Amino acid sequence: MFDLIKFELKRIKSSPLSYVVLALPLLIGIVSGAAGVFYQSSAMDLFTVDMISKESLARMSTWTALTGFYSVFPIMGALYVTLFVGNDMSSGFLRNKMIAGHKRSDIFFSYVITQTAVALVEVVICISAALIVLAVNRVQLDFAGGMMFVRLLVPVFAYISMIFLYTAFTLCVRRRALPIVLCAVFAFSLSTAGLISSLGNYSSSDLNKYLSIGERAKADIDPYLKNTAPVQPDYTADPDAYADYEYVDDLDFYYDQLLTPNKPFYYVARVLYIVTDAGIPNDYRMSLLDTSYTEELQTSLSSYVNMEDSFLMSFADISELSSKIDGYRGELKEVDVTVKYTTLNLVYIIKTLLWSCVWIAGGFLIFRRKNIF
Amino acid sequence: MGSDAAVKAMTDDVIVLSGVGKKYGKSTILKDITFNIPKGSVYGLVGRNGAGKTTLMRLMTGLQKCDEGSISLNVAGDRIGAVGAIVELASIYTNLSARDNLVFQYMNLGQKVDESLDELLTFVGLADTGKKHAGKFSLGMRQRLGIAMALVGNPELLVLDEPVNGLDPQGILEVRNLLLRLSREKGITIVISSHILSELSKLATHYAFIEEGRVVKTATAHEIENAGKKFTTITCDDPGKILPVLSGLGFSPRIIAQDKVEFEGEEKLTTLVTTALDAGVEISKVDTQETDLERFFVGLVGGDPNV
Repeated sequence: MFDLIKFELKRIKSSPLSYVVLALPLLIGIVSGAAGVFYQSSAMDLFTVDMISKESLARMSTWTALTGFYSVFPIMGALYVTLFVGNDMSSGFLRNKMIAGHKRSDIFFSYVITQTAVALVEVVICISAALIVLAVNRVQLDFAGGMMFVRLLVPVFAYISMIFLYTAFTLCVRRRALPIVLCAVFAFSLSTAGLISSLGNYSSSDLNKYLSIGERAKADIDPYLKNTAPVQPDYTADPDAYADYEYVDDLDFYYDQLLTPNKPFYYVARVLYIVTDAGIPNDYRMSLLDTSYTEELQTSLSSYVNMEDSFLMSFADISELSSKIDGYRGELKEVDVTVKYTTLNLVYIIKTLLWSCVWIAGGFLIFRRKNIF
Repeated sequence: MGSDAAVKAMTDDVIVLSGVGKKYGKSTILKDITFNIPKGSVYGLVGRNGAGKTTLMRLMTGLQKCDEGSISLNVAGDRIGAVGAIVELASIYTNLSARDNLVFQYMNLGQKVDESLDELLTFVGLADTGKKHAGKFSLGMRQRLGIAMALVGNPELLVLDEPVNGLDPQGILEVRNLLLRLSREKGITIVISSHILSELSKLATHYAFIEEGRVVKTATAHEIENAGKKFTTITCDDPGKILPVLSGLGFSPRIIAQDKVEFEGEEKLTTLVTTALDAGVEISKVDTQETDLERFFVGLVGGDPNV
C-alpha cells in the first residue's frame, strides 16, 4: 500500500489540477478572512451593536474565518476527487494496479488516504490565509478558550466524510461523467438541506412550550407597551403606531417567523437533521452568538431604549416592563430549544464519523465485488 | 487468482485453469474451462465475439474473480509485476509522455527507475518520442507503449487482448515483430487473443478454441498444421452441374460461391478436368489448400470459412 500511496502523491504533485485545487483555498481563505473583518467593521456596528456583544462579534469573526471553507469546499472537492480519481478509471491505469497484483483494499485505501490528505491541506491553507487576513487587519480574535478548535473539527470531519463518499462513488461507477454530476449535485443538495433542516430542527414539544410562553408574554406585555408608548411630540403624531412599528411588530416577527414551526417540512427537515450532517452552518452560527432565540426578544427592548437617546423622546418608566420581560425570558430559557455547544459538537462529530464509516465501508464493499473493469 | 503449491511443484505450466466458471447475473459467460498454458508458449485464444475470451483474460490477470473453479499462477514468488497485460485498451495516461507513463508504472510496481526504462523505450521503438504526450501517439505507438508498461516488472506472463485491433498494416507488423522478439529473446509466455486469425497463426504455438463460454478444443500449431486435411476449390462456369460429377468421384462437394465449389481432399488435375468436360462443365481454376487456423476454427464451431 505504501507504494500505491507514493504513486498517488506523485500523481497529485504532477497534476496541474491539484495546483488549482490548492490555490482556490488560498483565495477562499482570504475571502473568509475579509468576511471576518467585515463583521467587526464600523459599518456593521451600526446594525449589530444591540444584537451582539463585542465578545460575540470577535467570536463571529473568528468562526467565519475558520469555517469559510465549508460553504465552497464540498463542491470543489466533488469536482476534484471525481476528476482526479476518475482519471485512473478512464485511463485504465486502475487496471494496471490490479494486474500488477495489488489488493483491491490497498488500491481503495490508497485513494482514500491521499485524497483525505489533500482535503486536509486545503483546509489548512484556507484557515491559515483567513487568520492571516484577520491578523493583518488587527481584528480581535476569540477562540472561546480553545473550544472553537474543537468545534472546527466538525466541519473538517464533515468535509472529509464527503471526500470518502466522492472517492468511493467514483471508484464504483464506471462512467466518467456520472460521479462528477452526482457528487456536485450532492454537495449542492447538502447545502440546501442544511439551510432547510436548521430552520425546522427544533423538537416539537419544546417548540410548543416555547410558543405557549410567548403567547402569554405577548398577551401580557402588549397592552402595557401601548399604554406606555413613548411621547414623540416633535417626531410623530401617532405614538401608538410608532410603538407598534418599533416594538410590537418586532415581537410578532420573532414569535411568528422564528418560532412558528413549519409543519409540512418539519418532518422532512427533522429527519435530515437527525440523520445527516445537514444543518452544520446554521446550528453553529446560532449557538455561536451567545444569544439564544429568547435573547433576541431583548432586541426590541434595546431599540426602545436607544430611541430615547437617539431621538430625544420622552419615555414612561420602563422598569416594570423590563421586569415583566425578564420574567418571561427566564421561563423561555428553561425551555432548551437551542442545542448546547458541547452537545452540538458531540452530535455532529458522531454523525460525521458514522457517515464516514458508511461511505468507506459501502464504497469498499462495492469496489471489491463489482466487475467494473 | 489462487495458488496451488502442488500444481506449481509438478508442472511447467505458467497457468493452470481448472473448472473455471464465471457468471454475470444470470448469464453464464464461462463454464468449466480447463486447460494449461505451458511456459514459453504463445497461447492463442480463438473464439467468436462474446465467446468469453476477454472475460477469461480478465480472470487470468486478476481483474475479476472466478465464480467456480480455480486459476493457479505458477510464477516465482507470486511477486508484484509477474503478470503484464493489456486488456481491451492500453492503460496509459494520455496527458503524459511515454517516459513519464513508464515512471508511474515503475512506481506502481514498487521498483526504482533505472536504465531499464530507456532499454524498454528502445525495445518498443519509442525512445525518440521525447516529451510528446501519449494522447498524440498513433494507435500502434500506444499499443507498443502499453506493451512496454506491461513489461516493466519483467513479467513471466504477458496477457494481450486483441493487441492488433484497429491497427494499420504497419502497426500490425510492428506489434507482431515485438511479440515475436519477446517470445524468442526473453522467453516470456504470451497469451493472446485476436480476431485476425491469419495474424494469430503467425505468432501462436498453442491454441484454445472457445465457443459459448466453453473450451471446445486445445491444440498446438503443429497439430493444426498436420491435421491432414486438404481442401480443393474449383472455379467453373456451372457449379450445379459439377456436383454429381464430384460426388461420383467419392467427394462431398458444396457450392461456396456463384462459380465455386469446394470439397475436402484432392484429386489429380487431369481427372478433374476430363471428368468435368465429359459432364459439359468448363473448369477455369483448381486450387488446393491445407488446413489453416480459420478452417480449423470453422470446422470446430461451424460456419463458412469463405464468407
